[in-house]
Amino acid sequence: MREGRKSSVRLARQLPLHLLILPSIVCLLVFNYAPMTGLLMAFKDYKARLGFWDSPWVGMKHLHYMFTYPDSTQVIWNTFLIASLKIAANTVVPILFALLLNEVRTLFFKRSVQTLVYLPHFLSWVILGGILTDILGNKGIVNQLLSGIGLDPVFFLGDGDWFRFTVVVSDVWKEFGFSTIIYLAALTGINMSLYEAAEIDGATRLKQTLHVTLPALVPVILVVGTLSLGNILNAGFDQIFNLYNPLVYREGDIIDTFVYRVGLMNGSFSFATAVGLFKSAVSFVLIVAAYRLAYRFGNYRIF
Amino acid sequence: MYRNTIGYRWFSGFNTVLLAAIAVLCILPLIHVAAVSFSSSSAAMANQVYFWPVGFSAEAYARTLANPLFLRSLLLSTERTVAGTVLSMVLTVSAAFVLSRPFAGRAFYSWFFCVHDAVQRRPDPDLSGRDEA
Repeated sequence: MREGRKSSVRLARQLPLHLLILPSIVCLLVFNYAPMTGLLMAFKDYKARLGFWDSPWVGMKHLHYMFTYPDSTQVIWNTFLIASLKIAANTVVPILFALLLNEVRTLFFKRSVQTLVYLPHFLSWVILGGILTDILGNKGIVNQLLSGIGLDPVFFLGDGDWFRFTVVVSDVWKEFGFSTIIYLAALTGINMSLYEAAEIDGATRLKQTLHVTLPALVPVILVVGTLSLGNILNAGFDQIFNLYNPLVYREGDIIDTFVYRVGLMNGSFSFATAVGLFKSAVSFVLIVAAYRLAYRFGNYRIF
Repeated sequence: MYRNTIGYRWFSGFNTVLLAAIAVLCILPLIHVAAVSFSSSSAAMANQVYFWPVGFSAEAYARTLANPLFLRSLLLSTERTVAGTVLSMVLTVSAAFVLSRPFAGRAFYSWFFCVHDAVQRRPDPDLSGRDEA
């Protein structure tokens, strides 16, 4: 009796909370969980005129086709390579930049550099795609500069290997400013007395950086790096889609652009869904593994 | 705290130059595009514009702003930004408030949000919020 009244009183008190979270739950259910049933399309041979429920069931045919399709290996390798390079560069460059920026004494200069440097983050890849195509084109300003120095013009967006280089460098150019702020904040959180102690022991500025600053940054770097593991198959659809062209399909195609081209534009929705399902499954495993690692080693808690 | 050695002063100078160069590099493409947009069309097509307009003309802007399609998409962008931000803030803040209090079902709701996020997108360790799903 006592228990029953307690739980109903508790429910009455908690009902407002449940009601408050209801809109979010409904939104998630409708827009995120319900569409997951569409994954079934990966196992059917979807024909638009037959509709979703009447299309024939083919089981693993599309997944099998995906693994035997000759370009698949190349595409997966591209994705992995470009994503790894991006993650590595996007970790190293902001740290170096934050370390250098930390040495600046004039506050005005420091602030203006920070502002200028995180400006590109706010441009979308659609806009940047247009800008980069203009600047890096054959007669664009960069190639004119190269010709002026005496080097041959480089086909940045048309030559396979240069394309990968362009993709990674432009992504770093766009994002390093924002990450620098995170690391700068971490740097200001380091205990000043550690530096003073090191100075008393006779450490030069460089040694101080190596032995005080970097070890203090290691937890932040570890967490960021580990969590990026889940990102290994996300090589940036936005960017590559806006920059690529048939000349660079072999080196520049990533899983997402491949799915877009072969799947959506050719109308093979089932195949596209199958590849997407594969990518999501792998990413899921990696994300869970990454979170576990960050939990164990980096003290990162979700809730 | 900083030893004002000659070595450090060299480093400081070099550092300042390097940082300024990188900061300028970040803004240079935007300046170039701005310069091209204010140039006359013949100069722009001939790739003669560097960082300052050649043959100043605001004609490109006049034509763009008179284009109804452009104005429509500008309006749509604004609508999306404003309405999207407001709606997402309402949903997020309400959910966050509820999840921050201990109550029965909190674990269930937390997992509800977390699993969908893990399956659909990737975690955002650098908090920049960019959507690359």
